[in-house]
Amino acid sequence: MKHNRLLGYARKNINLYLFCFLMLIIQVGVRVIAPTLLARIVDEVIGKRNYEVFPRLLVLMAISYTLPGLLGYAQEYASDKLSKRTSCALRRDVFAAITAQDGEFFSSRTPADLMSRTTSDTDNIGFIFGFCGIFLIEIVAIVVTQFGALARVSMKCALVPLVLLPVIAYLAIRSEMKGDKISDAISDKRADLNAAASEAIMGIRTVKSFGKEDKERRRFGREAGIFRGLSVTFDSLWINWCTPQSIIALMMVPLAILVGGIEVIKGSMTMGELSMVMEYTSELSWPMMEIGWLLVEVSSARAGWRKVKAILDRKSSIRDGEIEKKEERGTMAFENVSFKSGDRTLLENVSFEITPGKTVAIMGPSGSGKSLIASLAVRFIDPTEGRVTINGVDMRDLTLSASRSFSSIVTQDVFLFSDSVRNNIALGNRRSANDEDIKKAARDAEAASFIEKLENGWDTVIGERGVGLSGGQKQRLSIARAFMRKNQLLILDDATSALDMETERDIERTVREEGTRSLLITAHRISAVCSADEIIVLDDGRIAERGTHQELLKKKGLYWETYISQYPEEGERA
Amino acid sequence: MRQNYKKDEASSRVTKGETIKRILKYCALYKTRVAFISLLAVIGSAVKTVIPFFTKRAVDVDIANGDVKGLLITVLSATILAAIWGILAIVRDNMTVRIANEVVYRARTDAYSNILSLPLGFFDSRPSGRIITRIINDCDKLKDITKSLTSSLIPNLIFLIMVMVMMLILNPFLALSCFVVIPFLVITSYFIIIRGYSNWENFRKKESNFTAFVHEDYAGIRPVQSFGAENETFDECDRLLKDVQKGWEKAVRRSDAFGIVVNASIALGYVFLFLCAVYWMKEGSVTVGEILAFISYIGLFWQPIRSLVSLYNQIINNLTAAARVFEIMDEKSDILEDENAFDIKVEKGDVEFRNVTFSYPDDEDTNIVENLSFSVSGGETVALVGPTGAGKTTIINMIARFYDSVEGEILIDGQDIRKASFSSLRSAVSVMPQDSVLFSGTIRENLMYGREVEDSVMEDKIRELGLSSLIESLPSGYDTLVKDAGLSSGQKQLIALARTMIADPKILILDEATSNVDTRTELMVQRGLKILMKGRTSFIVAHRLSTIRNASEIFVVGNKTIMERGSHDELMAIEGGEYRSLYEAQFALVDTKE
Repeated sequence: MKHNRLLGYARKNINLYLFCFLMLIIQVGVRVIAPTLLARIVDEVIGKRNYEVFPRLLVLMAISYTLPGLLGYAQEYASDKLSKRTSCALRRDVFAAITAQDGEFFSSRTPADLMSRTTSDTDNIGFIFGFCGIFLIEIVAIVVTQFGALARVSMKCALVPLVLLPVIAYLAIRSEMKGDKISDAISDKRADLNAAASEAIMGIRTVKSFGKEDKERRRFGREAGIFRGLSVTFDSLWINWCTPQSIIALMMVPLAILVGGIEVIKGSMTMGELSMVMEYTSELSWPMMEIGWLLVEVSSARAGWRKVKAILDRKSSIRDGEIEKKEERGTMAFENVSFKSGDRTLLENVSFEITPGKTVAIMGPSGSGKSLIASLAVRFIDPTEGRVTINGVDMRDLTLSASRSFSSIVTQDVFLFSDSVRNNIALGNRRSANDEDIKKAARDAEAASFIEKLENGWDTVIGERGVGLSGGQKQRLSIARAFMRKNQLLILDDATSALDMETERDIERTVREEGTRSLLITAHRISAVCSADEIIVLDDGRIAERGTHQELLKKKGLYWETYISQYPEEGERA
Repeated sequence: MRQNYKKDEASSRVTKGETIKRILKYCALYKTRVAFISLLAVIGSAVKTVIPFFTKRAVDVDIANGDVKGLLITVLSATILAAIWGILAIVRDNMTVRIANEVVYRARTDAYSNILSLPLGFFDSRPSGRIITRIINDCDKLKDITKSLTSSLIPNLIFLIMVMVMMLILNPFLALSCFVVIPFLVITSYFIIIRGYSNWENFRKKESNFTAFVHEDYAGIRPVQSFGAENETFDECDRLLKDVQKGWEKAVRRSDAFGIVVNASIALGYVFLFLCAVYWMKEGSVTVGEILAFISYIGLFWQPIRSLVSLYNQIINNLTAAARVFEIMDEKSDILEDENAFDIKVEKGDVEFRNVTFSYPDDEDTNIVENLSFSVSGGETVALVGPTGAGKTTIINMIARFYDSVEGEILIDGQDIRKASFSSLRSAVSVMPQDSVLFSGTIRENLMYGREVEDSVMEDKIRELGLSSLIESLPSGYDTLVKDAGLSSGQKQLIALARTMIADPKILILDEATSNVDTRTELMVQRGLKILMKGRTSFIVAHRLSTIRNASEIFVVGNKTIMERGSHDELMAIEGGEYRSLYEAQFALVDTKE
C-alpha cells in the first residue's frame, strides 16, 4: 500500500519497528540452530553414546527453544502495541476531521456510520500496521532468504518454488480482489442491520405504543438473515481461494524431492544437499499456509482505508478565513443574502441588521427558510450570494471560531450530552468555567430551581439527549448553555416552543435587561415574536412583510392571518 | 443509575464458564454437523501428518535405491494426499463458517428480541450507542469463538488423545516423561488466562466508553460546533483513547506471554525426555529406535497443544464480548406480561385510577404521583395541564403500561390492565408521543404500522383526514419511500396521526406537539385530531388553548396529584384557583398586550 499519510503514522513509531525487526532477525537465526542441536543430541548422545557432551547440549537446546519464546514475546507485544498506536492515532485524526465537517456531510451520514469509521475501520488499518504487517514482512523475509539459500544449493530444485510461488501469488491477489468487492457489500449490509436496530431503538416509544415489538423483531431478523448469507459467501470465498494455496504449499516439498531425487540418482547431487533442499523448501512453504488469513485482514483494511481516506480528504465547505480577531460586541448584518441548494432557491435576497440591544424575529412556518437564517448566522452554512457581516466584516473572512464566538444558538431540537448538568451548561467553556457563572446562567434561564432539586444537583448525570428531563427542562438547560457564553447575539431557533409562555417571557426579559445583548428569534408562534423590535415574515424564502407587531397587524397580511388562526377569539372580536 | 461514557459499565454478570457453556449450547443445535466437521478435521490432520512420512520414504528408500519409478509413485502419492487434505479442509471449513454465522444470527436475534421487550427506562438510562454495539459488534465476536470451538477444539483434542495413546502403547515410561510437562503448561496458562480475562474485560469497557462518546459527539455535532467546543471534545477523545491504549497494552502484555509458556514447555519437555531416555538407555530398558520414534512423535504431540493454547487465548480475547451479549439477553423487564394474561376487551373505554402511587425505579424515595384516584368515562377528552415536571406524562404513560404503578391499580372498562396481554392492551390503547417517528420504508408501510388493513380502508381514513392530496403529491403515492417523500415536520405529524387513526384504538393518549407548522397544516392537524378523538377516550398533555377549551374535562396536575378538575368555565370560576392563575400566566398575555 503506497499511502503516504499512513507511512507518516509508521514513521512516528520507527523505533518500535526497528526493535521488532531486530527481534525477528535474532529469532530466525536461533530457529536455524535449534534443530541442529537436537540432531546432535540424537547423533552423538543417543547414537554414539557420548554422554560427556550431553549436559552441555541439553542446556543449549533448552536455551535455543526458550530464547525465541522470549524474543517472540517482545516482538509480538511490540507489534500489538504498534497496531493500537496506529489505530488510535488514526482515530484522533478521523475524529478531528469529522468534527470539522459541514452540515451537508452530517446530513447524509448517520452517527452510527461515522462511529464505525472511527472505531472498527481504524482498528483494521492499525492491525496491518502492527501485528499483521510485521508478520507479512517476516514471511517475505523468510521466503526471500530461504529461496536464496535453496537456489545456491540447486538451481533446478529452485525451479519448483519459482513456478509454484507465482501461482500462489496469483491466487492470493485474485482472492484479495474478490474479497475486496464483497467487503464493501458486507459493510453496506452491516450498515442496514445497524440502521434497522437503531431505528427501532431510537423510536422505541412509537414501537411500543403500537405494541409492534414482534414486527421489529421480524424486520431485524430479516436483515440479520441477509447479513448472515453475505457473511457466509464472504467466508466461503476465502476458504475456496485460500485452501488451494495451502495445497500447493504442501506439494512443494514432495515435488522438490522429486526434482532433487532424480539429480541424486543421476549423481549430480549429494544426499546432504538433498536434505538441505528439503529443509529450505519446507521453511519456504509454511508461510504460504498463513497467507490466507493475512489477506483477509489486508482486504478489510483496504476497504476501511478507502472510507477513512474519503473523510480525511474531504474539505469542509465552511472554512476558516484569515481574521482571527473575535468581536465581543457589535452588529450582525445580512446583506442581500441568498442561499441555493442545487437549483432550488431556499432563501432570496434577505437583508436586515441586528444592532446591540435589538431583538429581531423571523417568523414563518417550517420550510419557509427561517432556520436557514439561524444556520447562516452561526456559519453552519455560508450564503451562496450576498454576505453576512459582523461589524462590517464578511464572516467568511473570519476564522470559524471567531465567527462562532459572536453568537450562541439554541435550537428546537435540544441536544444534551450524557454528562453532568454542570458540564452541559459549560459546553465550550469547560476549562475556564467557574461555578458562579454556571449558576448564574442557570438562574437566568430559569433552570436553577429544578437543577437544585435533582438527585445530585449540579453533578447529576443526565441521559443521552437529556432523557429523564422534560422537554421544558431540556430547553432551559440549552438556554443556560447559551447564556453561559455571554456573547453578543443570542439566537433562539424555534427554541421556545417547549417552554410555557411565562418562562419564555422571563428569559426574553433577562436578555433585554442586559441592554447590550441582541436577540434573533425564529418562531411560528405569535407570542414568541410579538414583542420584537422588528418582525420579518418569511414566505417561501422571501421577505413578505416586516415591521413591529402593531404595524404588521394593521397590514392585514400574512402576519394577521397567522394571528387570527392562533387566536381565533381575536378574529371573532375583530 | 444513568450511564455515560465517563463511567465504565459494570462488569458483566455472566461468568466465563457460563458464557462458554451458552455458546456450546448454541453449537449443540448443530450436533450432527459439528460431529461431521470433527471427523473431517481428524482425518485431515491425520492425512497431513502422513505426508512427511512419504517424503521420508522417498529419501530413505527410493532415492537411496536409485528407484526413479518408486520415487515418482511416492511423490505422486504425497501430492494426492495434499489434494485430499485440501478437499477435506474446504468441505470442513465451509461447513464451519455456515454454523458459525448461524450461531451469530441466532444469538443476535435472541438478544435483539429481548432488548425490545425491555421497559422504556432501559433505553432512557443508557446511550443508544451502547445497546447497538452489543448487538452488532459484540455479536460478531461470537463467530470467531464458534469457529474455533467447532473446527479446532474437538479435532485437536481427539488428535492429541490419539497421539498420547500411541505414545503410551509404544513405551509408557517415555510417554509419561513427555507428559510431565502438561501440568506446568496448564498451571501457567491458567494464571495468564485468569488475570488476562479481567484485563480484556477492562479493555472492552474502555472501548465501549470511546464508542459511546464518539456516537454521542457525532449526533450532537451542531452544539459542539456552534459552541466552539471542538477542542474540548478533542481533549475528551484523546483522554478516552489513552485509556483504550493503556487497557489494550495491559491486556496484550499478559496474553502474549503465552508464547513464552509454550516455548518453555517444549524445551522442558525435551529436557525431560532426553534425561529419562538417556537414563533408561544406560539401564538398557529402551532401545535407540524407540527413542528416535519418540522424538518424531513429540512434534506431533506439541502440534495440537499449541493449537489448543492459541485457541484458548483467542477465545478469551473474544469471550468478554460474548459475555456482554448474553448479559443483555438476560436483562429482565420489570414490566411483565401476566402469566395468565387475558385479552382485554374494551367497549366503552372507561378508565379508572385507584389509589395509584408511582416513583421511578432509580429514585424510589421520590413519588411522582401519590394515592391518585379518578375515573373517566368512555369517549371523554381529558386535557392535562400543569407546570413542567408535574407528572402529566407519567400519568398517561401508566395507562399504556409504559410504566407500572408502584401501588394501586388502573382499570379499563373494569379490567386491571396488569392482567391484560400486552398485544391486546396496546391495540386498545395507543400513544402518540411528541416526537412521533416515521420509519424507513414506504408511506403505506408506515400508515399500516399499527394495524394491517385493506387498502380501501386505509384510503378511506386518509380521505377522512383530508390527506388525499398530500399523498397524491408524492412521487409514487403510497409507495413513496419516506426518505424520498421530503415531508415537512407538519406533514410527518399528519402521517403519524393517520397511522394512529388506522390503528383504531379505543383509548388515545397524546403528548401534544407544540406548533411549528404553517397555518394550513396546523389547521389540518387540529381538524385531524378532532376526528381522531371522536368516540375515543382521550388523554392529552395539552399546550394549545383551543385543545384545552375543547376538552370535556381539564385535569390540573400538581403536588403529586390532580389538584383541580372540571371544564374551562368551571375552573375559571374558582377565585384564586390553580387553573385560573395558570391560564392567566400562560395564555392571557397576548390578549392584554393590545
